[in-house]
Amino acid sequence: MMTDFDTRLRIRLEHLDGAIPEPAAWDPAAARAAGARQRGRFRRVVPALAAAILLIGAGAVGAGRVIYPDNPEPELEAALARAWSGVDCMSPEAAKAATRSALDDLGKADWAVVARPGVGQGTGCTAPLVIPPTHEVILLGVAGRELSDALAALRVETFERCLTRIEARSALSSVLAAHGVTNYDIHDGPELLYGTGSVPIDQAAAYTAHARQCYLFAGTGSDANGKPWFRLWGPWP
Amino acid sequence: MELAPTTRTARTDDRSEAGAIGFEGELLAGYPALVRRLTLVLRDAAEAEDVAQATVVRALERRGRFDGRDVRAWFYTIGLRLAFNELRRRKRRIVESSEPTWAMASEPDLWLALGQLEPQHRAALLLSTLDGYTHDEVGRILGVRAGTVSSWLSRTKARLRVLLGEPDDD
Repeated sequence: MMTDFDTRLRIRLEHLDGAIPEPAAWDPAAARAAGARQRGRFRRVVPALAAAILLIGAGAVGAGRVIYPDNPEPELEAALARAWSGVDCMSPEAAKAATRSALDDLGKADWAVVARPGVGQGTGCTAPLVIPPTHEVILLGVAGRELSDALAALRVETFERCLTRIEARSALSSVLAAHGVTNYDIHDGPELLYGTGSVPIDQAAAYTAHARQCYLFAGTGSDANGKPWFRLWGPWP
Repeated sequence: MELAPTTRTARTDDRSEAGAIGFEGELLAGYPALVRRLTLVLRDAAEAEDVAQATVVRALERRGRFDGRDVRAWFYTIGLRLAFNELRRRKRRIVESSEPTWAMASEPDLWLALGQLEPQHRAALLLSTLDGYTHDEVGRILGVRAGTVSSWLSRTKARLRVLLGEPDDD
């Protein structure tokens, strides 16, 4: 049972929490330095991978283009950006061919094109991830532009309306079916009751409040085998 | 599956829109919250950022071990373990520090009182009070049983009552 002291303590902790200076955005270079300080054995490829993913997530570059933080392969990055430019959904086969072609043109015959597990599942769209230390370009599975737009719209729609779990599942399934996605999982269990999921940070409180009453679309990802999952967040059970 | 980057400019006023999609996006979306938690656990904002940076890298490195459930809880688990390791290292060296101005300007007595607590107890209090995790969930994050968390929280709150000069009864 919550006491008056608990309430006062929570309010004061929130006040203290709110006074903490806003941290700088996650920085791959800082991560590398911090990692080195933490244990002195981070592999260079890890922050490289993380940085590339960050840039994909940040939408700071064009579709499919991936920039390594230290930018040691600007020509390759530019070539891949050109290959993906204007393409809404690059299939794994087309991606392999385009990447191989770009590598060969640059005299990088020793580089490998690696398709991550399940990259052909879901929509079958891909994006390249340049890993200079290991001479690899990894192909990641991504949603195509149209599906991304549809899911973003679904998230807004489910936030603005109040859907039951069944209604939200139906809405999500309809969107996926309309975009040809057939092999996937829907996560709508209780694990996100206290998580914000994939919702805007500055609206997290509103989304959290909404999810106490209604179901909303809150993100997508893929499991270890590359099978895509889509998350619904709501008042389970 | 990640979402294609080109779709994420639809709402440019939404600073997390881009970073909050997919596993990596969830990690990065949770990054500011992790820094804040670690700041209160480590009592040092710069060190908290260092540990949080390392946490992102560690989480990406161990992505295959993630069970697909609560990314934030998993992120906290890794971050707090790194933080506790850092605190153990810190014990072995002499550290000169002054209290941060932002803390002393907002809740000075609470900040100082939190500093009197064991780091794990402090973390349990923050996860329970600020993040709303249940005792069972806090236990999973910190690697202890729910009953242990309950005991910690009970003792921690009793100690804070004394340190903050709060009355015993409500």
